[in-house]
Amino acid sequence: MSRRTAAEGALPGAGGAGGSGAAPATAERAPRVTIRPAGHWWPRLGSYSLLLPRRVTLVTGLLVACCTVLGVAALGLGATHHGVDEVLAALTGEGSRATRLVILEWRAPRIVLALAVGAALGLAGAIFQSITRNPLGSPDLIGFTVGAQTGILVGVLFLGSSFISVSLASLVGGIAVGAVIFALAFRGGFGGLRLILAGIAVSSMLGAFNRWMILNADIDSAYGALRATTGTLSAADWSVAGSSTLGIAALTILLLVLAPRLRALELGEELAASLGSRTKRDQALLVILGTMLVALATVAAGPIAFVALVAPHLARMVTRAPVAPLGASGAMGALLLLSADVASQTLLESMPVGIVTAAAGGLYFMALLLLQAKTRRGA
Amino acid sequence: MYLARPDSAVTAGTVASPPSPLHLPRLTVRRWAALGVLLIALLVSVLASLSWGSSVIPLERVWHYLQHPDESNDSYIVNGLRVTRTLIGILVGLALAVSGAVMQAVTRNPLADPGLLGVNSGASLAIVLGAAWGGLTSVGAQFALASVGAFAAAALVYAVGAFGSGGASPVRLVLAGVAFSAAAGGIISMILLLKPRVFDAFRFWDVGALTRMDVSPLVGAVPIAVGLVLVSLVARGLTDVSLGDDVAAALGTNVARVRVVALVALTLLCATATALAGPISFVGLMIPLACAWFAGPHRGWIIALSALAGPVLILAADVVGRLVARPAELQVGLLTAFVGSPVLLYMVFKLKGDRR
Repeated sequence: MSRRTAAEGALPGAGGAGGSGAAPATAERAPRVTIRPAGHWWPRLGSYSLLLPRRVTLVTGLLVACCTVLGVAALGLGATHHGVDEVLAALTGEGSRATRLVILEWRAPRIVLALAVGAALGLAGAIFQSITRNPLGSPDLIGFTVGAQTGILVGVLFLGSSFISVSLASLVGGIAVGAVIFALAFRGGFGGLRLILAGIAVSSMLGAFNRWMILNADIDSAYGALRATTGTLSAADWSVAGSSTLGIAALTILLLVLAPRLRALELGEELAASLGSRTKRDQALLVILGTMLVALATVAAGPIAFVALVAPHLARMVTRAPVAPLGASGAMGALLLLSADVASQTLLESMPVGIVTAAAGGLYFMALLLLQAKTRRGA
Repeated sequence: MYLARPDSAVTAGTVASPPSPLHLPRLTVRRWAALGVLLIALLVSVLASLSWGSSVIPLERVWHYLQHPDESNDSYIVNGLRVTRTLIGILVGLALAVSGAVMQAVTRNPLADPGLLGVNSGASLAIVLGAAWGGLTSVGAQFALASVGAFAAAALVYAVGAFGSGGASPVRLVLAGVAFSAAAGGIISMILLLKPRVFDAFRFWDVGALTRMDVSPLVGAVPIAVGLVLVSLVARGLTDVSLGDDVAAALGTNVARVRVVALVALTLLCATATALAGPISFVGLMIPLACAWFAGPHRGWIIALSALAGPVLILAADVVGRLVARPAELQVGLLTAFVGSPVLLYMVFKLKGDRR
């Protein structure tokens, strides 16, 4: 039962509805007894209340703080270095025009975009891992990334490459392939492994197609296509960063509204159904939401591998929560992508950030398998 | 923890109670019939591979040029290009199919495929590293690099997948392979973006093709022969091991020895095949599965049939690739990946229930 309370409590403003409505009535008759849920904060306002797991909230706050600090620091990093005082001066509208141009018009949108895209990927990863109930269920493994790459290759090699056409192509490719894989794996719910293995099969098929396209292009367009299929934040300006951040924020709010349903689904379909969830509809809604988050991220920055897989993992590890908490996963994703981007700009000759995440993520994934085996052996 | 294997159920029945008098001859007939059909198919595909291509040379001319090579263009096509290509196709198909059959027995995993287990990525990574920092782009150097990389990758993936209790479970092996491939892929694209010249060499390696080698295919024949000898030494034990370690031990098989020899042999086979032709996936997955359907649970028969069916598939895919895109070619690795993925999907759908 305590899990159910936690599930409802995660929804802001849900406390007044349904069963909890009985609580004030009892409070009038008896002397007021406050039962504080252990390890939680429980801020209340009138009949509204919010149940916040203490550690998760603290960690999420810490992650957000890290994002802020790193973001401000990153504003000063790059081809020209600026100290923190200069950055702060530029942010408050002072400093020289050149500094303001570099910091506010060139670097700020890139950092905002990194944070927004990273958060979107982290959230999407948390959704997919909860729905498949498998820590490996991420948009990368279920074909979205390869699909987006196929779309981009078709777009670049056959349709010509403006920014719009490339983003559109990646979007169409990703969503189409995602839909095919879902359709193949859906049998009244996603048995986690079936989704992942179907993703591997379809991905390897598309991989062959991608290689064929790269092979048959002349070297210049092939190299261009290779660059286009790797996610990068270097094209960021305020028009891209602003619109994607707004879109991602809107989807995030929608996701917070749906969060209790996700918590219920994590208990397994049978239990969720007996708690009153309409599991099929909830699954479909959340899958659509997750796909839209990934799609927005892909349109803004291209395919970025593994953030969606790794962020929820790390979030779960540091919060010690049984399942990946949404807020912490989002913040972790933002922090990861921003650090990867900063690292690639300062250390790796401006390597596109998607490649940095792919290499690091694959290694992390293998380490994860080893660790899992170790704990299993210990158990 | 293991995926349902249709043939192990049959075997369990055979071991427990003597087979019905009708059952045994039927299976034997099926095996020999499959063997005969495959022999004919192999002959046909070898002839097709020698004769068909961007220019079609009639069979009697092929025969003539084979016996009396001359200075003509067609003679060069037959003797210089297509014979080498066909030999490599036979070697690669043989090695991949047999290593798949052995791997499926050792891991008791119908999803086992050298390509899924990171061998291709390991070879690719080694080739890219060698080209980027050693300047090693000659065919001989690529062959050596690919062999080393494939070996290292197979060992690493198997170690990661097998680490932990209960040995290497099928799904963990596949996932370890995918993880390794992802990591290698990231590192590869990192290098490729930094070095466009390496990229230009690599994109031709990245699709498996039979036309790469301009050295004698005999280079690959030796390790493949060694691998086949090793496999034949443990073929009997493999049937027992595919029943499970306990049963195998009870039947008097030295499980550990069979497993080690088989792993060495299959790595030798698939590493050589990858070094010869580049990444060719799914042959090691599809062929043994199809052969098990004809051969029943007897691993020796599965291996024997695979050894014939593998070259047939590779040569057929190669000939089809030459014909569909004439005068250009569709590389054999692309075709097998395209045909093989649906087979993996089919296996996925045979997974029973909601496995998590």
